[in-house]
Amino acid sequence: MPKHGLLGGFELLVLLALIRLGDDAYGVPISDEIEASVGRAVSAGSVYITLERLARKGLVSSRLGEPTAERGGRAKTYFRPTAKGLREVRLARQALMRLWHGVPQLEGGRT
Amino acid sequence: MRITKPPRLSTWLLERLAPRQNRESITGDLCEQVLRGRSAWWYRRQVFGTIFAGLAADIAAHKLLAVRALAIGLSGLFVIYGVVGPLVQETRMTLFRRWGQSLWGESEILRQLWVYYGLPFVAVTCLMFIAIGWMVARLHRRHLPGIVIVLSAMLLIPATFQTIETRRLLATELWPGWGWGSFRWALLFHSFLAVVVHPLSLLIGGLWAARSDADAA
Repeated sequence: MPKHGLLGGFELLVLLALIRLGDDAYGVPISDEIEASVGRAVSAGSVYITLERLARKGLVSSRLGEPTAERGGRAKTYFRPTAKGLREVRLARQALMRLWHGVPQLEGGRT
Repeated sequence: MRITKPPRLSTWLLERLAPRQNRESITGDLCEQVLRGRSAWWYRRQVFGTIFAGLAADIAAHKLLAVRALAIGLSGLFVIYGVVGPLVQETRMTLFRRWGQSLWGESEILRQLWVYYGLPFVAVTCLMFIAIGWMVARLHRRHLPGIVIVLSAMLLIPATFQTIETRRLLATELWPGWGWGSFRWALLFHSFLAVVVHPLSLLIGGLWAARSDADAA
């Protein structure tokens, strides 16, 4: 298990959104991606707080973009997963798959 | 309803109380979303969600600082309620006894504003609340600009007791000859001060400190 503990549910969602978006991952598309997958609105603040926490753990890196008029002259911050972040996502997937496997209640879409 | 510009007051709050590290990016993101057709209601919900998420994360990450901020704020409140309050009351009564007549002359309205509402002293108390909000926000500006919100909310605890007491007094026949109708309004006025004006003054002080901070950045 990693030193900083396992990834939380929302952390995993944010990291997966970053991986899917590639180089164009900043606040708006990240929120859109999560909203589309979970089916409900997410607060911009909670996305950024999670990104900040992931950055502290060394799982994502960020770079500042150019300010644009569309954003009232404010710059975008682009995020991308680090190699360590990708490894954590794989570990989380493996752990989830192991837990998933062979549970009759979760198979075939029946409760 | 679709809008073309983000609501000003919400933006003003966001620029002062959003998590410091990502303030510019969050403000820009929300601005961009508004131009893409999000409503004013959506924007306001995002602003308040962001401020409170940031506040909760800040407090969770800096528990000791949060306790210190609350301790400083509560000490300030103790000074107001325990020291300044009685002093103001005494000054008011002394002035009333010595120069009452010359202060308001024949005017019943001025007499009531002074005796029932204590208007000049209300301003002093509000200024003190503003000063506490400003001080707490200044001392904790690096991590906890939003702690002032918690402190303002805490003011609602004594305010609740005051409201209960006001209700009790309103139901009682007291001080005959003082003009019960006017006195009733004065009680309601003081309750309004405790529930709305004092917490708001504290908040204004905090936002003022955050503003000078945002302007300096």
